[in-house]
Amino acid sequence: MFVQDSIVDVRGLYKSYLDGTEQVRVLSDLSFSIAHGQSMALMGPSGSGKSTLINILSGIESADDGDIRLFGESAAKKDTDWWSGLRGTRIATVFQNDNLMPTLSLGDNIRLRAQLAGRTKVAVEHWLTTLGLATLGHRFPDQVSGGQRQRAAMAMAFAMLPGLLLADEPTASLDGATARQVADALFHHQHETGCPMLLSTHDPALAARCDFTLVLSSLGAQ
Amino acid sequence: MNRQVIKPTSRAWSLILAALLALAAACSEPPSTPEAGFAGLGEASPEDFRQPTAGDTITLPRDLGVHPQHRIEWWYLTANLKTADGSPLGVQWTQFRQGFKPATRNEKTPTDWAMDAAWMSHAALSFNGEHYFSERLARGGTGQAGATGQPFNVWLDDWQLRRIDGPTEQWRLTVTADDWSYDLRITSRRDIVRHGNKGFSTKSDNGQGSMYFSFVDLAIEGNVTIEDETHTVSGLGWFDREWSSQFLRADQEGWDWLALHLDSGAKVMAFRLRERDGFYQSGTWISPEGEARSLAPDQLTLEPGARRHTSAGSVPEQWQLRIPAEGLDITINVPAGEYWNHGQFPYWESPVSAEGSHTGVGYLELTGYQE
Amino acid sequence: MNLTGALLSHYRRHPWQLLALLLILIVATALWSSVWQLSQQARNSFTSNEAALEERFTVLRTDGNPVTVTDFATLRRLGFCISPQLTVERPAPEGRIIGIDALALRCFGDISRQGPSGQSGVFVDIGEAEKLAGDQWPTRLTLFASRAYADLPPAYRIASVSSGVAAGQLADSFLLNLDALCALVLLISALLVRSVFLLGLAQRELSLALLHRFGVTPGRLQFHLVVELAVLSAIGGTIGLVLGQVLASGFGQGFDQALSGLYGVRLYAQETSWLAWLAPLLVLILVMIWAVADRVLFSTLKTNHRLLVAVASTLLLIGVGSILWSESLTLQFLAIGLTLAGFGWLTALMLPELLNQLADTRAKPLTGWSWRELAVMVRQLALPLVALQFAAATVIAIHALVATFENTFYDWLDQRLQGDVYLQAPPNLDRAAATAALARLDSVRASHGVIRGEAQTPYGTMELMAVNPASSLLQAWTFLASNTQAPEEVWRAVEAGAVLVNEQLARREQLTVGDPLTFAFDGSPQSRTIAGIYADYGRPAGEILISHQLWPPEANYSSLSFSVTLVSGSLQTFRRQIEQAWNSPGLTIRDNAEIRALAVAIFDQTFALTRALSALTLALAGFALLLMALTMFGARKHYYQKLQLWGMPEHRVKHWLMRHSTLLTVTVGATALPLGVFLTWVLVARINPLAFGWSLPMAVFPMFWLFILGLCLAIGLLLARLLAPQIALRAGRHEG
Repeated sequence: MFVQDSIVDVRGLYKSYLDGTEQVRVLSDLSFSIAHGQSMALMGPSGSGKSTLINILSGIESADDGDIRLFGESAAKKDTDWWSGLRGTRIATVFQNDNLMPTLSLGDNIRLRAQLAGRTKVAVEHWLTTLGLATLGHRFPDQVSGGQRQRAAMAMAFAMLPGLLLADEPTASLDGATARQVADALFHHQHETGCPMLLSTHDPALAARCDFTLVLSSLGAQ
Repeated sequence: MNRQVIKPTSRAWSLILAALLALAAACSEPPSTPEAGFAGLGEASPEDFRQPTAGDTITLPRDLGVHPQHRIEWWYLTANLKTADGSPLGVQWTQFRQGFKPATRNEKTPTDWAMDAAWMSHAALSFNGEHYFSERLARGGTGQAGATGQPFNVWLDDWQLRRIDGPTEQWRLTVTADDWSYDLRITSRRDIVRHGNKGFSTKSDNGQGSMYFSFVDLAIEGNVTIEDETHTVSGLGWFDREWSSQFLRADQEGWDWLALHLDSGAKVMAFRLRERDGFYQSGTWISPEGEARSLAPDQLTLEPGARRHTSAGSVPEQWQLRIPAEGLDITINVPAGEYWNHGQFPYWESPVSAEGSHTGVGYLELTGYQE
Repeated sequence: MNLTGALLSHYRRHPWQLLALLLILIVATALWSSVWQLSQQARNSFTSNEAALEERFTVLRTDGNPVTVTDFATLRRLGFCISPQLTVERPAPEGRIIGIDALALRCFGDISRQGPSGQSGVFVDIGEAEKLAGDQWPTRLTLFASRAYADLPPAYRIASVSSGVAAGQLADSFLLNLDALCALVLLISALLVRSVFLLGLAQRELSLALLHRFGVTPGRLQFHLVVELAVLSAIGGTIGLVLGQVLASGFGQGFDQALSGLYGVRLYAQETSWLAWLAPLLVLILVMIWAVADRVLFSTLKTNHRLLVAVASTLLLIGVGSILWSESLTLQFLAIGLTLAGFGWLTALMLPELLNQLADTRAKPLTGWSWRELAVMVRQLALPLVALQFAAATVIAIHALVATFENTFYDWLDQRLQGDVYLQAPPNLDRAAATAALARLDSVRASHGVIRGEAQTPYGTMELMAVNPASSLLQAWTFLASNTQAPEEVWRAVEAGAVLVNEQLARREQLTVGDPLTFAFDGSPQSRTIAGIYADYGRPAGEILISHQLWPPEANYSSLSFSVTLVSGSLQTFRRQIEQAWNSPGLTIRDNAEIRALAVAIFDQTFALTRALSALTLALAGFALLLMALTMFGARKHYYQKLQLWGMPEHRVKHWLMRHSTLLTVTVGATALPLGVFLTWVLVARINPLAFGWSLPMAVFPMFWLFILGLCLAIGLLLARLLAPQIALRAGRHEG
């Protein structure tokens, strides 16, 4: 049973790892869905499978069992090109850090991401301005602060005009004020575009700003 | 003398051969042993050479020249001279030959450079407690070194002993070393002395021996130059001529030889071959009138006394010689200094003086003492 | 765990890095130590041979007759220090024998100390040499004097031996080539070790900082790092030296032949002392420590890019300038080193700049990223890339030199080996009668005699060679210089009394066509015009060629030989007939094809060594680049993965990777081309005339450049293939 209109629909998802000789289960019978315009927070202690889930949803890792539908299409039996296509044009990812090509300026990073998404015309200045980076487009990642780097990463994600935004602890490495700025930008974009968002975080305040929260518990060995 | 040279020679030549191999064969295949390496040149075994035997005779001037049928031979001059101010000065000159192959009559025309023999010349000076020594080597067959009896001539490079034309037996000896030289005129005043049995000198109990004769009374005068200082010298000399084909027996360790000019006008030669257990000794007594008498082993005693410690080994510096039949009982002393001839093989060659029942001067040769 | 353990734990985490360091050390040491060992042995053998022959004065008879054993004995008995030397000219492959008299040499000084024991070679006792020569080979007796005596008897005079180039100098220059190659390999391996070690250092930066914070003084850390590198060098170096020994003995055989073919010197295998092992090991350790010294010992040294560019450019300029202006071999080699260093350094500094400029003018962000990524790669792999560049340039230069030499040499060989057989006349044969008898044989279609002897010239004693200029067998000669294009006109000039000189003599004395040449031969002085200059490779001696009519029938000669074309080609018939006609059984008759094959074999071996070493150097550089890139890529793979994360399919990312790796190696290969061509020019036009007296035509081999570029491309492709697994995104795919 899939919810209509949902962008992400997960049913009965299982995932375990082999840690040494021990099988460690991180996700067990997980089901949820996110519809257009919705945001979902993902919480839980370290090792509870937050990043694993995000990786599975972006096609970097595969699940052991369960059904996933993205944009109304089943991910079952899809090849890597299908996943590449999704990541290229519809799913934007933002990680805690290291989201930029260090050899390119902030502006060029945005342009590159847009180019890969097939957006021939990209309003780089618009996105830079939107995220408060108007004068920094020619700077290289190592020439700006961590908060500015994260905002640039979001500019890259926004510039590809995604259908789904996956953010893995996007504010974890920032101080409180900067983290708030970044979060503001994320939610502002979500409100503006209705782009559904899955956001993993340790910060309850941030989670509270989402429409709903999924808490993963540490299952340990099963 | 028996210059027991025999022994020294065997050792000397093997050293020379080794040196030859090291030098000449700068790059040729190394032999397994130095002796074997010379096989190409000296394949002949000792048996191919003529062995001297009792009954062989000595004829002059023939026997002053080379003996190609024999393996080893030497010409040996020692002289006890005095400078104008009366300082003693000793002179030695020796030329050795070792044949590699006895000459055969119908040999094809000899090649230019085939080495039929090796020649070695030694010259030494003893003066003021200093001893000077020089050595020359040459390959046989080229004319660089050689010896002839008629006219008498023994040479290696420009070192030369030769007869001066004239009615009397007069020779000239010229030697030039690095920083010293001598040029001596030598007059023989007596006929030669044939040692042993008409010249066959026995060297061991089992009858081995060599042909051996000497000019025992040579009057010598001339010039000796040492480091640019020329001394006019004169005195007495002794010249040995000896040839054989046998080296020392394996159990013979070396020898002691001496020849003395006694002030009485008598001359004496005595030698002692040191064997592993005991020794073989012999000698010749020549009366002032020139009468020579061979001394059987039991007719003389020759005993070493105190030893001198030198840089190359300890040597007896004092000897006691007794010939009871002649009333001779003398002590022989080596003057201060070291008298090693440091050539391819080292040996001791020193002038000596004698005192006791008789007085006189002479030469002492010792081999087999170096360490 | 103590400090040493803490520092070494790095290699437990990165065993490949340790292995890479050791492998580079081992292979590099094996390479340069084997060459070094060979050249040292050869140098020793040259030195000792030269020591035995250090006489520089010969004694000649004033009546012009050759000296004999009697002259030797006469002079010795006059007290002159004279030593005989009997040279026996045996044709290849046995080669020349030199007979000496060690007893006579004693007055030349203490040579006993130099008397090496236990070698095999061409020096034998003079009696032995005479016996070996027999009637079979011509001999020449030379009497050497220990000094220039002014008081010789009037029948004799002193002449100084002039070969123009001393044998030692010639040998030195040949060996200098090899030494330079060793130095280059050592330099390349230093670059490689530096790169690997610095990588390790970078990876250990955190642990080092931590240890520093725990109170370990920088001095102790430096000491530990230096000791660590020294120990690694000692281990790798020892294994490498053993391998080098094996390599050296493997090459030794061919090298020995090459040397004896070129210079008449045999290489002897010498007992290697522990010192001979320790010395290269110490050199290795020192060079390796030097290679990393600036980073380990002076880590605070900050470098300024512009200053570095200026220094590198200065090095390059000084190097090129010295090559152009210096006339000393050693300086030439030093200058090559400077040029290489300057060029390599500039490449490493400028290439990333260039790529970044390209990135700035790009149309698309992806292309821009690509150029910048490439620039980063160049910067990170600068050392192994420069090593690869050096190696490629060396291979190009060596190839051009060897190929040119081979072509020229074989042409020259063909020209000289006219006719079917080569016949050496026994000594003491009546020349005219022998020549006539040969011509009368019905098995002979054409014959051509060569008479050899010596002429006194203002430049010293030279080889004199006489031929019949009308012979059909000479018409194929080509001349380096003559007044006319047609060889037959040159030969007509020779027939009319002109002479030819070889290139060595012409170069050394700056003689050109049309110059007069005075020389004395057979007691009579002559002044003749030079009609042409001919090539004479592989030998340093000057040579004059005249018409056989100028050689008086009764004049002495040192050798007489004939090139003969046979009617039926039946060597057996010819042998029977000529041995009968000359009444000399057992003549030396050699098949020219065989001689050619032997000569070719000898030179092939000489250059096989050079080629093998340059190829191995290239392999080492390629191998090191792969190792380094594999390690370095750990820090870059992230960005290729990011492209996949942003939706670029894996095969396209791999395609980009391949483009980068191939562009990297091919670009380096391309920068090696001008360097290689320049090196070739230096070897051919500067080093060779200085070392050998003759030059080679400058040739370029574009096909070989393509081959080198192809090799670089292959290295790049292999690199991409090796790196590709690293860029895969974590874990597998979603199976649904």
